[in-house]
Amino acid sequence: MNLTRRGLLGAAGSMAFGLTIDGAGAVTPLAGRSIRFLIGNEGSGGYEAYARLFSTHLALTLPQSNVTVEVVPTADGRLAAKRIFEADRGELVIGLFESALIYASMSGESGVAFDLAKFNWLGKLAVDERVILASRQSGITTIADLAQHSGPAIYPASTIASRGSFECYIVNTLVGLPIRPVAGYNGAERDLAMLSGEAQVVLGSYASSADLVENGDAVVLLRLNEVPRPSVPTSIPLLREVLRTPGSPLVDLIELSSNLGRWIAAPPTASPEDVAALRAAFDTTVASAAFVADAAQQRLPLDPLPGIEVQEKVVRLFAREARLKDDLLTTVACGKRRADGDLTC
Amino acid sequence: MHVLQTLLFDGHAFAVLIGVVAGFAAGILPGIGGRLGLALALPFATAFDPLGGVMFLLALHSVVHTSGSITPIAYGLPTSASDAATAIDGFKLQQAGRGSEALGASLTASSVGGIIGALVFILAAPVVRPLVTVMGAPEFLLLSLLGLSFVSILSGSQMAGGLAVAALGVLASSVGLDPLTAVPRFTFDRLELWDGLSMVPLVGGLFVVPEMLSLSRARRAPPSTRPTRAEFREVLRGTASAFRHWVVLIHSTIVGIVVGMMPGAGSSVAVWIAYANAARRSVRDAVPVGAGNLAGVIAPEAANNAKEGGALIPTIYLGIPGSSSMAILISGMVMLGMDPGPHLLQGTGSEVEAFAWTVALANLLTIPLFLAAAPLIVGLTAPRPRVIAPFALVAITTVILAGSPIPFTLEQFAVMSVFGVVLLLAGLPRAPFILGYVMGPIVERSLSRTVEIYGWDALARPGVIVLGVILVLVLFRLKRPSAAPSDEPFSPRAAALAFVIMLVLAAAACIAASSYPGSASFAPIGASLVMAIAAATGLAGLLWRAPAVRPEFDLVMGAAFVAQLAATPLIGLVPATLGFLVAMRTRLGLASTKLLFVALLAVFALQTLFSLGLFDRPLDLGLLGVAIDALQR
Repeated sequence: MNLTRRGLLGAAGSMAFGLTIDGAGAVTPLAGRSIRFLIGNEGSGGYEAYARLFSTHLALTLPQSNVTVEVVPTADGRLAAKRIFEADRGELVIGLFESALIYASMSGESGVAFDLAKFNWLGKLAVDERVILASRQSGITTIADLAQHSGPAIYPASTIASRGSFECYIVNTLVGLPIRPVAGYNGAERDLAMLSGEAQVVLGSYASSADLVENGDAVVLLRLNEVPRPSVPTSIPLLREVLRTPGSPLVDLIELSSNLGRWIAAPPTASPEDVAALRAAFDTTVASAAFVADAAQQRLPLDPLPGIEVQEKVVRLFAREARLKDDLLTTVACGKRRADGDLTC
Repeated sequence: MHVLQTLLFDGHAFAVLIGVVAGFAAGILPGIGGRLGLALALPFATAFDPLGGVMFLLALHSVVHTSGSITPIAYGLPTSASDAATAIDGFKLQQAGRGSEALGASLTASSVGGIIGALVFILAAPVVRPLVTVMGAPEFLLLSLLGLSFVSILSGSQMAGGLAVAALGVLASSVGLDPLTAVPRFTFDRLELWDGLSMVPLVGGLFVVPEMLSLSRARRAPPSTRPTRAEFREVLRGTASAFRHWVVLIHSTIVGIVVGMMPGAGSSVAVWIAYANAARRSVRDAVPVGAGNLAGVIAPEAANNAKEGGALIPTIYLGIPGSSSMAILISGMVMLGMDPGPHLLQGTGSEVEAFAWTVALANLLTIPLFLAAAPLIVGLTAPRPRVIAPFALVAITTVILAGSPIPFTLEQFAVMSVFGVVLLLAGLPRAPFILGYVMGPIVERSLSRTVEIYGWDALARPGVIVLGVILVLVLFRLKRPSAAPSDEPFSPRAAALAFVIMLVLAAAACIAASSYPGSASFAPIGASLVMAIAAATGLAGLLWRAPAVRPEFDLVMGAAFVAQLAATPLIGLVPATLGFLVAMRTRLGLASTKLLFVALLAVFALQTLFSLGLFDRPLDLGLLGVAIDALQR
């Protein structure tokens, strides 16, 4: 039995006015039920900001439901994803976590004890514009310069198993680059390393490094994915355009994990009626003027996609899992050799 | 001066004032602090114009550490590694009837540190880039080694025990996913352990629980030393004492500013280095730091506030957050349309000046608030210090479990509480654990980065040379522990148990870590070996240690507390807490049923407000709640 702030206020309001508020004018399968929204990331921006924005407006879309928020940042969102995946039948635990878990899942990581294709995807909120930057100090101004850089180009990564490290190894092989991820940096240390010359390149979300570019401390070398409203000039080459071997399916992997940014999942055990109702609520929420206005005020770009489309993309990707997995492991192995200075593969 | 006039007469003064009040409140409430306070305040910042909104947030953050010293000193209730340093000496001073003096010293140290920090922030503008970018992995390595070198000081006369406890702290810090190799260390296939242990349950279990269980059995102070009410002149005496300790004050401020400028170094690093430095200077004092010396309050408080001025330098000038709180500040600035970065230095730079004045003014404005609130709070605790113990236990449990109600948090808290009690009974220092826990990961990551990126070239860096000389000087001048045995109360059996536990842990950790590939095993095995050797030395040393008085410990309250923790997952935090208070009614002087009912209602209301109001968490009834839900369905 849970008492929540909204529940108490809602009960008080109902008692005072003798009404049951229903914005849609109809009873939905979600009426009177608790929806727990898990945020699989913590921090001042990015995932948590999007998640809180969405959950606030979801509560407005579903006034008859009781939406509570819980931050579960453990293991980069793996725990949040696990809890959603293992929710009991009838238990409405939904949430938002790293789309980069696709890599962890594909590579067979032990911490990913769930099947991403089996989630019921409710939609996604944004797209992650991912780029490779080089510091001004490095003297690298184009992707060709980077490919010819003598010695490894240091990339200050958070962990050696982070999304950035994974993509770095893939791009090393696909484009012929010598980027070496060095682990143990947080966001602030990464920026400092770029300014001090300790590191030469960064691979990641453009939003996280926009300040470096705008202050003239870094230049964008490569765009990893195409986005509807790019912040980076389209004159900067795209990953697809500079592949050593065109048509690599791993580019699909990189693009999908970036384009499905801030995706929202429901448990595999959710009933079809619940999933349909939640997807409808997602669509209503992201289309509301108030949601769009709030997102603009918080400078959170939106690029929503309905749940059914996200589901199709994820299922299609994982249908090719076996081949992608082999490709991924081979490519990453080569990328690691290139990072260590062996440029023969 | 034009900026100051604008600040005072353009309505921004109101924003600063509201920020100061909000920050003061956030600092006093256990478990809130700077980071959460800023996060909660973000929506309110939009009520002001952009500059006013940023000044509101800055003012809030500038004072949160000042008021944050009140509960550690008055109640011995730290909720962060930084607070723990203040609580060690501050609470001892409170127990000795010098709580108001300690608070006065804390206020002065915080204000001086904060104002000097603001001054350095504004003066650093022309040299910010070379100042900040000279720091890299080798400098971080030297800084963390410097911090670890202070273990000997914090160990007092218990060198072997202190070293063993510090090594255990380093070992504990290695729990989780190793960022360098992606190997899960000591996670036992539990995802909850991938991010390592949580600081709040660690500090709460290690410092608060043992202190309160000891306090509950302490004899009442004789009337001559018991403060009958908080004296304003005692606060002023503390202020004067802070200036008498001007060397500690200045050193700690410098440490805070320098470490604050290093993004990612963490607030605890500054605080503990300053504290340990003060301890080094106090070995010849009648009452050394750690036993109730004002320098033990002045050092961490000055460093804590000065650090914020230092952290503003990379945050505002370069857009690089100097701390996790600064990251939230940046997001607030972005939300208000005022992006930080070098462009702020172009033109008149008036915003930067406004920020500096805001920090300085906020530190000054908090003085009257502090002087009004602190004596009241000390006055509340003075008459019946033993009454504080159960409420402090309830408070720390609420902060820990309402903020993170997962079973894993409870497990950590329970284990650390037991360990903290064992260390207290064993007469072993607990501060080295925090030092090892905080510094260990920095040493490991910095060493790896230094070797991988710089190699031997690191030794030629100016920052490395300067810090290296400081490290050598500190090591050379570290006072050797006195030959006289410690007169700290301790139980030989508890001490033997503590050392045996550490030996067993060291062996188990070595065996587990030996299977980790690559460099993942280095830190755990290294820490385990040090712990084993130090624990064996300590165990052997017990044979020669003179008998001592057994420490005071309230077994009955301890048992009731264990029952509360055990009942929490079954029936929920609030019912378990109410049960604990009912069991402790005699201790609390609540013989009257009416009084008991009022107290229970008050605690229920506060816990509900805390959980729902601050964390928006549903009130949880544990397994009982789950059963009720299932029946209702």
